[in-house]
Amino acid sequence: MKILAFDTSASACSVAVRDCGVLRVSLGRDLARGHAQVLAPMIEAALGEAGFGAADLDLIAVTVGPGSFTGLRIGLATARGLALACGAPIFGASTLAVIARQAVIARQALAHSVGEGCEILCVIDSKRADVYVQRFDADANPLDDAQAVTPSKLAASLVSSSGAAGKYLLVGDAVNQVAEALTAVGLECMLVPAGNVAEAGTLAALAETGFSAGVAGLPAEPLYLRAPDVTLPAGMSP
Amino acid sequence: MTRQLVLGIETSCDETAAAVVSEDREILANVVFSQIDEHQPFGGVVPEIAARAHLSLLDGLIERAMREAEVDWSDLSAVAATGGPGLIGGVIVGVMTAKAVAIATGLPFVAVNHLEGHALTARLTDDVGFPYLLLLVSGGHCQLLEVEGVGRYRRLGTTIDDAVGEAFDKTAKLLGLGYPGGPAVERAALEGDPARFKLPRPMVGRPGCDFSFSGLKTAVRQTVSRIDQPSSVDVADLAASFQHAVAGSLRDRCRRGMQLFADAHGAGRPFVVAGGVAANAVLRADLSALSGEMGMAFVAPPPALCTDNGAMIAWAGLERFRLGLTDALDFAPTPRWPLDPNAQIAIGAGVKA
Repeated sequence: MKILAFDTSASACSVAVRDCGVLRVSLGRDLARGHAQVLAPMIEAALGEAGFGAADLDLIAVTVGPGSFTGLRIGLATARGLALACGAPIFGASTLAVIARQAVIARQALAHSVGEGCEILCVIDSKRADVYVQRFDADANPLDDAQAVTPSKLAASLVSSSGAAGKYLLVGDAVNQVAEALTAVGLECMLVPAGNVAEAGTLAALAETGFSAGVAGLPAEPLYLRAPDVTLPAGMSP
Repeated sequence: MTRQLVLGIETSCDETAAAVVSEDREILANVVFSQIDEHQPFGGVVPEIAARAHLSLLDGLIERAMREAEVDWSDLSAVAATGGPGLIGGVIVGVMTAKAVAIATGLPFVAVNHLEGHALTARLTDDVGFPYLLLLVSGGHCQLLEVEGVGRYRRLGTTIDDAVGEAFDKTAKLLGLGYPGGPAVERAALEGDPARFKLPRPMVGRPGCDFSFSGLKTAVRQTVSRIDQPSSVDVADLAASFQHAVAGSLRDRCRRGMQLFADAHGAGRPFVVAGGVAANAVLRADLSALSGEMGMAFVAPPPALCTDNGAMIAWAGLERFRLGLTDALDFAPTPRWPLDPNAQIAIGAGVKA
């Protein structure tokens, strides 16, 4: 099974190719802007290195969000354009789920145990007051839906749902803001050295496992978690 | 020998569009989805709403255009998309989709300047030869250009503040006529008396070919505020007076442009009007008359090819492709992309110039 996976949802751009259950190519670079410039050449390079063309693909995996609105559209427009022209289906995955998976992998790789059995709290910077959050169990299975919430509200809701004795394994590029809010209310936070943005290699593996098991990915639509910032003129109702 | 076909994608404002055209000037398919309903409540185009809609709609529209044209990827010679100028969120969606198609099919990618799409439409519809004088009038632009060839433009004049389509939109808003303003003002003006309100005709008599519409917009606002509870007659008269003032200003500026153009290229060349505002029947008739008076052949594409569409992008893409002007896959979508890079930036007009 040949899978092309890519992510442009945050301050990085990564592309991976998996073939017959093995990660063949993994390209990545950190960048705050310019995803629209680098993604297509990276995909071409990855396919070239893997030694096959887009027409040979069985699956296109892409992160659908939450994340940078522009970044999500860059990734999804590319995935949808590829799917349109080569016929391969798209497997959409949540950025939060990919990052939570990265936390599990990172924890398993550690010699000593960190956050064993502990709930994973995946948090992504929205560049605004709130953060994108989702809770996962210790094996990265989602426990609730992704949401946009301020770190202090998140802390309060965690205290009310699981009590002040809760322990969380934090991962994502908003760990600093969230750790501060959680410790302020007495919750315990642990960190693992996992990639803080969704990586195409993890995404490709996730898509392969899901697709092979007959699990449908998320639809190829952005998960914005926020309506466009616009107000109706006075006197108008939506 | 099979004829060359190009797929064109347009997503730079509030129209999502895809089309297939041939080198022998046939439009095999031209699918346009106008997002008017999405933006209407806000009285103008909301960039984030537009970007979201482009992504949801575009692949389906391309599929439809390909089906209507009865072509397959292997029948195409290139894939073209608007690379700018325009609302960057939408431009990115079109460019990335086109790049992805290029990767999947091996077709060359052509990044088209949206303004060049408008500028070359007359060659698709009327087979106009270079050089010609172009008045480009839309919601985002108002320019007079000498068109010497593909990618070769000399700007004679530009708006120094608002675009003419913007003035229509704002006038429509002031008159409570809704969005989009161009067709609304034109419709209201049908019943109105253009001589009732004395509005300024901006720039008339001034040297050069530049345009200005912000003063006219202010005059409309002041006139509206002086009328207590404008009746439908007042609205119609003001719409007609506004349109009349715009026509007067355009006539004066174009007359000067025509003289400059004739000095450089001789008499009898075509005068082409393009862009969304060129769909206005009153302005078309007026400019056609001026054109005749000045001994130029008047060319205006049919209204559906004046407003944003994919056929103009496919055609401009085809013209560029024929000249070997394809683009690399690292092309950066750009919000500002002047047709004449040597022209001075008009400070008040920002990206519009």
